[in-house]
Amino acid sequence: MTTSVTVAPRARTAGQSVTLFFGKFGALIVLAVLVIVFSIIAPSYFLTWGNIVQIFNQSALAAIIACGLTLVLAANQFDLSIGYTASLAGIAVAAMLIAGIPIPVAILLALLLSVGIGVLNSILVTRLGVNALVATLGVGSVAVGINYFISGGAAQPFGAYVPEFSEISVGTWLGIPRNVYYMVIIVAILWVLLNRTVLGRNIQAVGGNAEATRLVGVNVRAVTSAAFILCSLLAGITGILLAAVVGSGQSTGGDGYTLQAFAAAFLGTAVIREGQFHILGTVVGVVTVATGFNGLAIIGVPSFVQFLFQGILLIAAVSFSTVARKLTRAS
Amino acid sequence: MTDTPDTPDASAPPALIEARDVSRIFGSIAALSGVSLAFRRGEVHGLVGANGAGKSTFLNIVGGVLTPSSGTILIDGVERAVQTPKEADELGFAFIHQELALIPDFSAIDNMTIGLRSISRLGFLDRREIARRSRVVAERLGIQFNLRVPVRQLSAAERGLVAIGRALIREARFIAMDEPTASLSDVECQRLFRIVRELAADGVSIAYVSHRLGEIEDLSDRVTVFKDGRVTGRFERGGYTRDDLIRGITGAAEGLGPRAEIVAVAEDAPVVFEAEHLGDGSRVRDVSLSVRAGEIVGIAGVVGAGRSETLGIVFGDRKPLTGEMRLDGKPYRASSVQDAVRRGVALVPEERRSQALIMEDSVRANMTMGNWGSTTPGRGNPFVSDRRAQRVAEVMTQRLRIKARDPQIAVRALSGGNQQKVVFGRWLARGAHLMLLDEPTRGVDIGARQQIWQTVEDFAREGNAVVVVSSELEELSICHRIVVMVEGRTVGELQGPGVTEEAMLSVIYNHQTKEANV
Repeated sequence: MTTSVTVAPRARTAGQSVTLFFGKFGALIVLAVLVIVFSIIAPSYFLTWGNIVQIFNQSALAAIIACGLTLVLAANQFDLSIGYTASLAGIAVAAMLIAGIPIPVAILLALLLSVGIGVLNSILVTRLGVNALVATLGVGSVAVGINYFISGGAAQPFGAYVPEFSEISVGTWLGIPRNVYYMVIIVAILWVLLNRTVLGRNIQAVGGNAEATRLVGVNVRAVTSAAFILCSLLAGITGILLAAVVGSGQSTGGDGYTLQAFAAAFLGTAVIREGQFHILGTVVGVVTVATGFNGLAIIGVPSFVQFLFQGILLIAAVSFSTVARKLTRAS
Repeated sequence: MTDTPDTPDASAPPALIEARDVSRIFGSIAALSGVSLAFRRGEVHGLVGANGAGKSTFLNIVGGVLTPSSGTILIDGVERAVQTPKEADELGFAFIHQELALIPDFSAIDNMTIGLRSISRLGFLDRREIARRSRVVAERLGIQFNLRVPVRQLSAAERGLVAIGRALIREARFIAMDEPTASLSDVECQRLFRIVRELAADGVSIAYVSHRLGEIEDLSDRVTVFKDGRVTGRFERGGYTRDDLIRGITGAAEGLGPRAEIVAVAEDAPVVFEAEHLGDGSRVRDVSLSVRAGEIVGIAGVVGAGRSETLGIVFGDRKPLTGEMRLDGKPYRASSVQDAVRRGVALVPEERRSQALIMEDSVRANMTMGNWGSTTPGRGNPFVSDRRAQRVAEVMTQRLRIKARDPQIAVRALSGGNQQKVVFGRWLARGAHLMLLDEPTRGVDIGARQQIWQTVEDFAREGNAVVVVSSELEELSICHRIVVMVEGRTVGELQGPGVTEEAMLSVIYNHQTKEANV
């Protein structure tokens, strides 16, 4: 009766294979294409050591906040407050420096404030069961409120009081900007956390099937809370580094990171593992967008094109990985 | 096996649906090869076969979900391709799937009439006409519950009736039911069977898919057996035995009838778990039971008797309000699932897909899920090692004879039986010694069922305790002892192995009538 039932996977149509391929390697292909195109258009500038370093420098802060967001997304949750948390942390640290609080204390308190935002998010989502989208949007607005309470909406330039604070992120070591080192260290820690620790495995399990994870004796609330709190902490770090780069706390300085981080993380789902959020994917996502921005700026296109580019890239990558995921499930 | 499938004599009217030599190829695999089959008006046509034998593929072709690679479909004797599910709907074909496609927040009325074009006027719904037709259908099905509450508030059986109602309101000529009794109690099954017979008597053609051969034998006018995408048996009512069906399904003649041999529990085996007068203030009212090392205790009862909820209390998932529990001789009260797991209690939940597994994840990840301790180099070490996880998965895959090429493939790719074994393996690797099984063989084909029960027996023989809930009473006959639950209370105990379904049912019904008389 057993006819020629082979173990080989079902043959796919050419179209499906292409979709699968793009779903898996989409972001990497885009990155490669960008590098090639820009190298041809601007050979004397784009592919130089200085510019490559520049691209990574431009990626650094976005990568830190986006990798934090990746933890929350991996747990199948959402955090829309990250940009506002970053702004708040920047404003808070700058205001405290101006008030004469020593640098380490100011950093610590600003990070605590960020963690507080994460705790608030996690309580709303895991204890009260509020939808994460709404909860973090609301908490983000609260962060904006605290931000304006501290700053009155004005920038907080600390340069005249503690110029040495900027040295935290401005400046280079062995020719490479400090922020790039921070990015590498933090990304490495988060990669290990998500892939090689009990907490990370639990975050992924919760994201895969929260009920099943609960029924094997994992404290799902604690795991989800940890993801939210870490995410806010990383948003806080990003905000503080941003303030150091800019030389002042800007009340809306970090807001744009929300969109950037989501774009990068979703782009990252189209890297190697189709449809899954993972740290390296997110980093590739950040670098791809940064490369595009950098190259477009070199060519000299108007800046609105950069946003068109980011939007189209995101939509295309996510579409491919969504379709690819459906295909892999169907087989 | 016959080679003359359904050749109608010239005088008879053409069958409602007739498939001629239909095949469906997926890549290099033939999911269906050369199947000819007819559904006649007014007949209940049983379809049996292991998971993946081709039943669903065939019904999906009739339903317009899949197109056949070759072969023809005749409807009312006229050749016609059913291209889309919408066309199937217009032809009066209805499909009731195992996971009912109902919208939880919609009422029974809205669920039954959704997508029904004939009752809208200029795009606006005619509320009065909808209500009238729904009432007619409800009456026909003997529906007692309120048609206006959201269906998520209804029981599984009631939702099943809503799904049938959806077919009836469309005046379906053909209804395919896929495992309709999977989540029903025996009493509810009887009601469903009555409805199925009435529908057939009214001229509706019914395709009835089930793993439960007893109900196939009871209901079907004709039975078609599938194996590996081919028809391996065609039978008319009365013209076959259970063994004939099993031979067609498995290719071998081994049944899973009531069994009476099982390794006896040692005289001096200690009591592993006992509960006295447990109650949670809702479904569980007064439950007392005990299980010894090496013993398999079954809980028999109808759906809603509080069996799963009892397991939930033991597993720390529900809070007991009254009663005492002891585990390994010590007082026991799990305040959370984590607590229960730490004490060596395991639960294999009712819904494999939604409650037990991460379908996209690998066998290895599922096997070590929540048990990362076994994959870290030391206690309290926060880092996991894939090498250790791999070893755990390989050992369990071998021990349970899980058919997976390697532990890295996704559990989605495994058969239902093998998926269930992955869940078992997870707890075995964790050293659980009290296993709570909730419907362990639901949606699993016969061959895999035997293997799952073998796994349970092996686990018990090693000195562990098992409590098992199953709606298929026949299966429970293997248990050392059976506790009968009626409406949240334990009302009797039967000494096994070899307790018959009849014996269990008589205890259940005797007590149910008593309850009713009170």
